[in-house]
Amino acid sequence: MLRYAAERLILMVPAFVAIAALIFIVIQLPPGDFLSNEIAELRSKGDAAGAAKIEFLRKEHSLDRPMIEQFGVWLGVWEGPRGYSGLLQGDFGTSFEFKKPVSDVVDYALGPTVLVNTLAVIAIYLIALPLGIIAAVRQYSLIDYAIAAFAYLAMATPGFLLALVVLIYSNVWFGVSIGGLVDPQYADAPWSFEKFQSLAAHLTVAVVIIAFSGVGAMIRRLRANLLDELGKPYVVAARARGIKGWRLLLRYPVRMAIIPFIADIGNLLPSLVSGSVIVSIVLSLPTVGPILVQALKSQDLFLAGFILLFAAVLTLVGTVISDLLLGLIDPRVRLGRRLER
Amino acid sequence: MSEVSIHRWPTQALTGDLARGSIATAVGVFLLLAVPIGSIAFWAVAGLTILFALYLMSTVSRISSVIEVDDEGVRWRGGLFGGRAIKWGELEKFELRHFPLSRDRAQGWMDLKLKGGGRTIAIDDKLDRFGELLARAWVAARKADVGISDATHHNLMAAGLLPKDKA
Repeated sequence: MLRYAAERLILMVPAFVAIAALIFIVIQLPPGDFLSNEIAELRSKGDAAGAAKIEFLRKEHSLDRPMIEQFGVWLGVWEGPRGYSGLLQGDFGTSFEFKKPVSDVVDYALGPTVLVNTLAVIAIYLIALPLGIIAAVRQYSLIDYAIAAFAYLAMATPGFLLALVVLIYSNVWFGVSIGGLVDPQYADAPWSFEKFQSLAAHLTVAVVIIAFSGVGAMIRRLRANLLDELGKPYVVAARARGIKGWRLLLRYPVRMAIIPFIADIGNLLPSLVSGSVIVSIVLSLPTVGPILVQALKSQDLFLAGFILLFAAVLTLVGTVISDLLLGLIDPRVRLGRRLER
Repeated sequence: MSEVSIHRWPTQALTGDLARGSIATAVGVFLLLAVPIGSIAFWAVAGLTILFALYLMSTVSRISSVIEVDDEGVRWRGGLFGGRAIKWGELEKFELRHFPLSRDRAQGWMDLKLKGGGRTIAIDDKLDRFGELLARAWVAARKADVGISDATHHNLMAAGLLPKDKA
């Protein structure tokens, strides 16, 4: 297992460098950058002193250097104006848009993001697992059709649309604003029971909206996987030996049916940080998603680069975790592979 | 006295592992010099570098090892971690696992893990004539009435040592 972990992690290193380079190149692709645009704006207003100051900032952040050097400085493997100071040294750069260090900007949003998306993922599993199992066990029954209808509705409803509908009707019918993570009066207030109640209410709505679109696909996939397993000879053999009901179901078929979901961990981890961007914008949630969109729009190089790279690292880590889990849980070769040497 | 079958890991088969292990360890050491001591990144890189160094050592160990198999049992000679032997009569565990390097499970390697008398021998399928060794160990495991897991059963079918299930 140690060798397997090492092999998977070794492959991560070139993948990380390639992804980091791609992100850096793609963000730099549009002509100009945040500071160039600022300089042009200040010059058009005749503010030469301001333009000179920003020109200094361009040098300070190595934006006047060739792209390969900028990339090296950003990573922290090339000497910049502040020596070797980049991602590897924990210096994530400065956000031009927010005029503060990237770590400060992201720190503020990371907690709510992870909280909302983690709860959404848990909700998806809590809803989809039992419904998928019931749909497979009661195949072609009324309850199976009802679950299928719910699943298709969930799959066909975009999260942002549901968010808009809930936002409008909660206001029209109940006079309540569900935007943000707490009611406006508690935004800057110290923690209290009322603020916690407000957070719980807002969080529940946000989590249900985000989870809704993810539930449908999982129910259908789990139902299909489980039906495949239930038709296999080992289930018939187990039934013949007198193992019945939930004991039979949970012992092998469900275990085998959820194996494909382990492979999804690679996509799950980055979605905890950068998922549900549009829903977050609609619901005014203080998460990383809207910050990323704003950073990309204003070509805030270091902020956008860091968020994208962080999501990419989580994808890589998630993929390694899912590979290790699959290696541990299901160490079977594909039949037909030649083994003899 | 039964005939002893001698198996080695061909250096050519392990060149890739050796190159990967060396480069990864070197990159890890370089990064350790670049990141501030005591930071989260430092400990993460340190952990990875130790893992890569162990991987490199295990590869070097396999290159310098010899596996001997006869009617008595299996013996691991040489290597960096010392020799060990398991007598077939002492065999308690027989495990054949596949470690996939691709999602379709077509790429990857097999690992045969034998346990007995408090010792463990793990051999991967890059060993020359691995199939012969596997067949011999499987015969011994059946004689010793060692139980096997579903995964081992499946992998033995793939290796042609058990008949395929009629599904």
